[in-house]
Amino acid sequence: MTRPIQLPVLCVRSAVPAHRSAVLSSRIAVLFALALPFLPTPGCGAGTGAPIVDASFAIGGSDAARSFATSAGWQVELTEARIVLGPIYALAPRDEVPMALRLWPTSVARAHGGFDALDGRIVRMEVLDQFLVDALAPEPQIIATLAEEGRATELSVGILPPVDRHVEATRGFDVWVEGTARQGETEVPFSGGLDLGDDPMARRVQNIDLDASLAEGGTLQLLVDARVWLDGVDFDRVDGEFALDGQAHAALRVGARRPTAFSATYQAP
Amino acid sequence: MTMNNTHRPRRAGIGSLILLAIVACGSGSTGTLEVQLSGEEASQVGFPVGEGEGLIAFTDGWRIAFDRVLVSVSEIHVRASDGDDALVMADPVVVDLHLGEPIAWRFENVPSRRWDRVSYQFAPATSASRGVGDISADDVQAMAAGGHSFWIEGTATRGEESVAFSWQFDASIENTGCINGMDETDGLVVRESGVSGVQLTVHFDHLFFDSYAHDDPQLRFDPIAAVAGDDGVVTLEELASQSIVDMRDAEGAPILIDGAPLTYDPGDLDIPTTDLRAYMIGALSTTGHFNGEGHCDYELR
Repeated sequence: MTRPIQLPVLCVRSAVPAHRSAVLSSRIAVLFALALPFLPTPGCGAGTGAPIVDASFAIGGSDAARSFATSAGWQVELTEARIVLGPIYALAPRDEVPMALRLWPTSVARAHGGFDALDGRIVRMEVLDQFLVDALAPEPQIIATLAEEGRATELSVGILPPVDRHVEATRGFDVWVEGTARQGETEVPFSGGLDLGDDPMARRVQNIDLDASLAEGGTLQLLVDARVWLDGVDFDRVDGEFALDGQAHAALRVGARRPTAFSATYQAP
Repeated sequence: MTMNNTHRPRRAGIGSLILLAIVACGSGSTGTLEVQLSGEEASQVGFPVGEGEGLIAFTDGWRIAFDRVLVSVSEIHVRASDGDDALVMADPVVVDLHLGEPIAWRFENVPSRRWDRVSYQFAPATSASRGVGDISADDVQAMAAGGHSFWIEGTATRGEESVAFSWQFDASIENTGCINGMDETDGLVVRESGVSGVQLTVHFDHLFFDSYAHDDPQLRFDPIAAVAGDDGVVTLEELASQSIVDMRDAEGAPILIDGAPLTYDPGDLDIPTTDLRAYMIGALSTTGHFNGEGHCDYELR
């Protein structure tokens, strides 16, 4: 079924970062302001005119993460691995420019450390819910959503602090792991939580590859891979719970935010 | 954008549409476009560079002097989002940005208008690559023979310590949708009957950033110096032995900052492994800019 509606409200997609807005030409700013009433809002449905269709979104983990070996040769048995995710955006190819930006040579944030994560790109699907994902559970959570028809080549995923109903499962952290690592005769029981703090950029994972042509009835699936979270941990230096200023916590911080810790696939109807 | 909506569209819209027409449509006139290549002052004098708020320096006290900053640019495209293409015919070039900021191309009779879709590519040099500026013929040949896109060589010093580095990268990097660093608009404008100059600017400080997860990273050399071999020259292969989540000094002990282990955060860099070589190749993909500070979308291929 094709619905003649716009995507849900998605605003401030093309926000100019503070340090760049300071150098934004005042003339351009004035001209843009004058033209704004006539321009489709970049990112707010992107104004591409493509149909909005019913779709599904699935999110889950994999029992392959229950037992695995790290690059350094540690055999890890995980008993708990949870992460709090959302929102999730499926992005159009970079060379698809929102209509407003085709009409006006205004500034747009681009990918760069610390800059606006969505880069003024077209969002083909967004899921704004907060998901508690059990990375060891192979059965995904599935929800109905809407999508704009068209190509999507990348996923952007947020990692969130848990809302009340998820606090217990993650001990209040954004990410929680518990298990045992073994190497030779050495056995290291461990647990650890990750709190990404207040920096919104640290909470966004981009460059998650996707090769999809979104259409009516399709399902976008996102799986998390907890093996990547712990691959860089030096368990020799772990003593029980990961210390917040320790190597294991730093490695978890990098690992949980690596694009390879996620995989996105699309199942056409 | 609430109450004013009832008043502003008609008046402001007419003016805006006229301006849009002026910007979007060419007049039939042409101009000349010159493209300069630059590594800014840093590629010539090294780090630290600048002063005051503009100072760029290593937080761990190292100083760097470059001997070679060879860069291969394979193509540049000047297009417009309405489908127009300036059809500039850029041959592949190799430049030593340590030796200056040469003009790589001069395109005549380019239609005068805004070209809002500017892109260029770093790619391995080939036998067809032309040396520009003061680069030696030997260096051009070495870049082509090795299939390198970047060759960065120099020496880092800190007090009595001295560590050389020699890095040859083979990466192809597409820089697309470039924003003009001069005025923050998309692309460039070719002026009528004049010479319009633009610069492809390479920011080499990015190679030494310790984080891509925020916009205030530190420059560090300690993790690089730690993996120098017996010959005292750090290669890319040696950087692969340094884990960004488990940085070790030359004695194998964890590198600590304020008592906490030093780790690098790749942020959105798409790196296949968490070693320092992969991190630096990822960092290299972010170095291409346009007219100084203007950013492009970058993609490592």
